[in-house]
Amino acid sequence: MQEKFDKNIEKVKQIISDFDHFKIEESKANSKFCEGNKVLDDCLNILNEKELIIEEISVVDGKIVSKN
Amino acid sequence: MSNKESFERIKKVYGIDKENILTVSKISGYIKNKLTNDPKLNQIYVLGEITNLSRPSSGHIYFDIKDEENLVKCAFFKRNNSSLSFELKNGLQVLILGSITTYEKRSNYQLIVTLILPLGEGAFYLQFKQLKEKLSKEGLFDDKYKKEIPPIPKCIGLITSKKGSVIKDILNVQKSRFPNITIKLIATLMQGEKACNEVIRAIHILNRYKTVDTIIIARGGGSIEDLMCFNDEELARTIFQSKIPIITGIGHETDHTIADFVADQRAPTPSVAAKIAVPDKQDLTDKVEMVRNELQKSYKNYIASKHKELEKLREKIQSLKTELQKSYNNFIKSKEKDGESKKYKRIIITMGVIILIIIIYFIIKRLIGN
Repeated sequence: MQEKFDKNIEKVKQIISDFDHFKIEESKANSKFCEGNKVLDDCLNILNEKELIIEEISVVDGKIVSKN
Repeated sequence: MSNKESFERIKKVYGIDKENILTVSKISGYIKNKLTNDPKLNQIYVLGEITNLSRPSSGHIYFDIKDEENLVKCAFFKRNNSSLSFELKNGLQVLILGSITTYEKRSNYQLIVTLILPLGEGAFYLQFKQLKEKLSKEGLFDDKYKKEIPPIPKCIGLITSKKGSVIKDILNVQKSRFPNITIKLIATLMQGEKACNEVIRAIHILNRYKTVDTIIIARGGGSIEDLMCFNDEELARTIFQSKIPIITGIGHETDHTIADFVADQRAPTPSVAAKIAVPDKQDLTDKVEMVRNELQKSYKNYIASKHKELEKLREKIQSLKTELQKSYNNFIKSKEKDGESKKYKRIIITMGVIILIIIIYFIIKRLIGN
């Protein structure tokens, strides 16, 4: 989760750096910009991907048992 | 002379029967048997001060235990002393569990020690201090071994009591900061004799889950005795060996246990432990928006810079065009100038030729006339 989030942020930072150093051709700029935005949307999805689950674990007869 | 010969001689000289005579070994054995079979001398607690402490290379520990008037020799053999959690020193007040027996070779009686508990006001502190020093020397508290706490955990393993406010506080922090992280809760005792083993077992269980990437051990405040289970050597070693990073939030800010020192991160309270483990989702969302703004800004700058470049090219083309026109005009002018000078030359030459012809005419005419 965290790894994916950080990777996405890095990806966008690279795009930003490319823009700042004009490494890309103008024709690719639009698609790069769209890609960057999509990756950031993915980041937000990562933060919202699941609901809170509280699972209680205990050991019964030597076996791990989930009480949920 | 053998024993048999001796007995025969005694019988002859003194008239004493063999049955009425004891050997040294027999009497020593008899005394030993008496002492070891006396329940009042077996597994007894003895209170006193340590003196004449010696630690030979064999690993056994020998000392005397004394009060104001008397002393008893003690032997604390290697097999029993390996689990000693504090260092013995002369002058230390202790409570000893052991049994009285004899050392037959010297006819000494001694206390064979099974367990030693430190006493006095600083007993707990002493035990704590000595264990801390021992584990510190072994490197268990070194920063190089501290595992990194993941910034966004997948699943948090929570070891705490199901009763009390601690679990509520932690869940409240979690709900307010990042409500969609899974928590695996193992409810354990957090004080008393069984607490330590339950916490150790909980750490082992959580280490079996691949999804759990952060563990919190949390307990509210309490007396030094209440927190003693967190000063246990085995628990410290289990925390150290855990593959999953562990955050401790035990007691209040001023409480420091061995578990805190060996943990990958110590939090002053359970709520702070939860804050360390659980990132603030709003902060992360803000980070995403910040990066998005940065992306937009860079994109706009990029487009603007490309427009500027284009404008410069346009200006350059315009200036080249002007220059070209100027050069062309100059060229034409120079060409025109060239043409005019040739015309004048031609006229001058023609006029020169005419004058020359006239001169020649007059010369010829004069010559003919003459």
